[in-house]
Amino acid sequence: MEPERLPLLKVLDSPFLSLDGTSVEMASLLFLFLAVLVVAGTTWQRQWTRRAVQAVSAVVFFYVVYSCLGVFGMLRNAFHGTTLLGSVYSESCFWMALPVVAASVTGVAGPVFCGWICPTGALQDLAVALRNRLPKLRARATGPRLLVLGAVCLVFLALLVWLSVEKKMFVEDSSLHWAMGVLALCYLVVAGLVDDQAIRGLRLLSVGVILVTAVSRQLITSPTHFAFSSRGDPASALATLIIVLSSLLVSRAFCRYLCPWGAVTGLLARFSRLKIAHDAARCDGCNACNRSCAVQAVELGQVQVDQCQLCFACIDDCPKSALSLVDTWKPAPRPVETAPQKA
Amino acid sequence: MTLLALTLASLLGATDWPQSRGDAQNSAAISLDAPKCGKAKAWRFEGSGRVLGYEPGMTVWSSVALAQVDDRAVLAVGSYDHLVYLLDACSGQVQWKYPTGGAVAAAPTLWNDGQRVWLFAASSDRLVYALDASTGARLWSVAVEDYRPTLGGARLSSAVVGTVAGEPALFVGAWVYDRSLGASLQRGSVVALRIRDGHRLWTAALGDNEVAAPVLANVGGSARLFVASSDGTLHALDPSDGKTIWKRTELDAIRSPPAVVELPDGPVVVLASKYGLARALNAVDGAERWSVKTLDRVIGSPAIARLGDRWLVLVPSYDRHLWALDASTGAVVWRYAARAGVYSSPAIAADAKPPVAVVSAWDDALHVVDLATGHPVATVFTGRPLWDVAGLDSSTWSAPVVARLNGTWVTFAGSYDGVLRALPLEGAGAVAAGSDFSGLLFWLSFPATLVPLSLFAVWLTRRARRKAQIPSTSSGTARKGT
Repeated sequence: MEPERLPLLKVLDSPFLSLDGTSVEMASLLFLFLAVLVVAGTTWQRQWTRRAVQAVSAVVFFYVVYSCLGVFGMLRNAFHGTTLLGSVYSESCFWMALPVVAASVTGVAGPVFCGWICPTGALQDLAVALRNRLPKLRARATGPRLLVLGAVCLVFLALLVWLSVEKKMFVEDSSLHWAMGVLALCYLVVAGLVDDQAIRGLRLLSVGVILVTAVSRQLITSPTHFAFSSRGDPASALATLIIVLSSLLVSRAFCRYLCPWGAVTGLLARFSRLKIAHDAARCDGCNACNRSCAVQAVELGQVQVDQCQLCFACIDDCPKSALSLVDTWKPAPRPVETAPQKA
Repeated sequence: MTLLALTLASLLGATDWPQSRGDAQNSAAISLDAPKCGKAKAWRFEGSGRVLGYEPGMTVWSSVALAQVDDRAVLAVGSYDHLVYLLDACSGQVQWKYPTGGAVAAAPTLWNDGQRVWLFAASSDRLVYALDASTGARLWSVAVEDYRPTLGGARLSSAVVGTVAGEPALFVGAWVYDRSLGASLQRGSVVALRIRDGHRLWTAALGDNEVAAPVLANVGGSARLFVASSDGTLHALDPSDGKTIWKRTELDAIRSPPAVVELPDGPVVVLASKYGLARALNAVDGAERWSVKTLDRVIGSPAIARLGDRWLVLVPSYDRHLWALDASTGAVVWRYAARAGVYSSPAIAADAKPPVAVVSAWDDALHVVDLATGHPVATVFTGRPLWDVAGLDSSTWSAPVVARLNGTWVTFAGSYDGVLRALPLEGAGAVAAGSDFSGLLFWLSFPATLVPLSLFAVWLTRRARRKAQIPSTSSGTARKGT
């Protein structure tokens, strides 16, 4: 028996029907940002709170925002929104809203999107948690191990080709290029042919590719757009799976090497109001901060702002409380001035 | 006159396409015996390949319309590249193409007045074009809204041919919007135009939401125009003056034209909404006959097929099923399961052997389903979608149609990969012809991408290591601290 009245959600949605009902997506994401800004300030059980927010975010992205409001789409949509400025304002605002909100929040409060909201990051964190519980996965890569790993990758690639040639499913999608790129970089890092820190700049290459394709109207697919949850897109599902598995080799590998949004937030974070400060007097050099950081953005208390994802793990794990969150916009307390004494 | 035209068309067997899905039952089927057409074969057509932009609900092709023109079976299709194409339906050869000022998302309409075949195309440049289907010459064009620089792209529906006061007339659904801060407006309407010269006869305002293509049907001896709107309302209009006879509002948007049929116990109009509900109403007064809730939204049109003594209503749903319901009672006859949401309206080849329905789904495949049993006959990969959310809420764009060309059933489907395909339905043709994969080229692109990426990464590493060895620099792992 269907309800007699219009569901409340639809009442709220109806003014935006012309925008294809996407206001629900927008509202959920804005709510996520607001929730993060509120809860990130509390120190009680912060990492568990972060995981809870990530879980909610993953649900939102899978079941509500299942499409191009993901990592790549945000950049592409922002560009598309600019092309509508001057003629169709509300539609322009719609396309630009999430990127503008995400960029603004990053500029003000740091890259909380990466550390708290991004569903790709959440899925990779799951793989990292698994990796931390399996010592064999963390063991040093040796020749035979690398050969086995390479063979597994090739077999996986052969499986993809077989799926495609036999028409089991349609996987020929550009999202696989991104995913296989991450896997290849992870393999090179594990094999020692490439240094982790040296290739972090590749994220800018991703930004370039996204912008060039957006400007030239070439349509490429993101490995992280989660369309597979709504319309059965096996290529995106496989690409996401590969990215998650890559995190078993190098934690949050996609964030480190190829995430275009990560590169943008990294640049914006330089101007962020909130920053992580290091108190050298308290630091005893145990490097617990480095061990807790999923993207190795901190060493001996020194934080790389453009790599940090503001998950606060380093602050929470520091045994000496040498790291803290500071508000750089807050004026320093003025020294107490005493009135000049009269002679 | 309208009634006479409708009756004549059904008696003689139509050789034109006067409504968006061919007829009031949305069967999207036609039978043509064209002397200049050889044996129908599989073909593919890619148009100009230039897509100039995208917008919500974008697709590259409109649905197609078929008719017989000069002893030739032809196919008319609109494209996002702003062109209207007329192709030879048997060979896929372009007869002519006509440039409009915007994307042509609505299916064209072809109407034979006995002297010439008219082609009506509604473009997002706000204009309705009347063209001579033989030559592609423009006969007239009319704007449904005057130009302003802040006007967004209009969304015009397919046209339907009828009569007003004894004169042949064209009914077009139009939705225009102007979201500039100074002139904010959204307006949905149906416009009646005199076919002879494009003169506007009447305009019926239907609120501020997008409207689907009107459907013209004979209801209890009178002509009725059924227009669905995105505000969830189905309007039954009098085509002579555009006045509302009755209307009914659903819980959610109706994005596709309803289907109308004259059953033994009275005329029925079947609508389907984004709420996922298919509802049959008495077409005379709008009273409900039955309703069935599918498990997800319905965007495509319902279609009605006759199978022996039984009338079936086919409803495509995003719950990954094509539902077949009994038109009299709403009882579920069968459900065909695709691997993803079924977004297109069905096309029905009731005279094929076996009788089949053809639908497109989000699993990038065209599904040919046995109309009697709901069992799959063939599944054809139509290629990758062009855009990951294209068509999530679009109506009947790029829905397949079927045609019997000199005895051979062929389906025509525009796909999101930018290709328009003709696939023979009988025999192994459908399975063999549609299996388009980029194949070798795609897999070769992997080494072409990964090898340079890896080499670049190695180069970056060597450069960093060299810098680290220079004594003047502090360390290769220097940090930019706060």
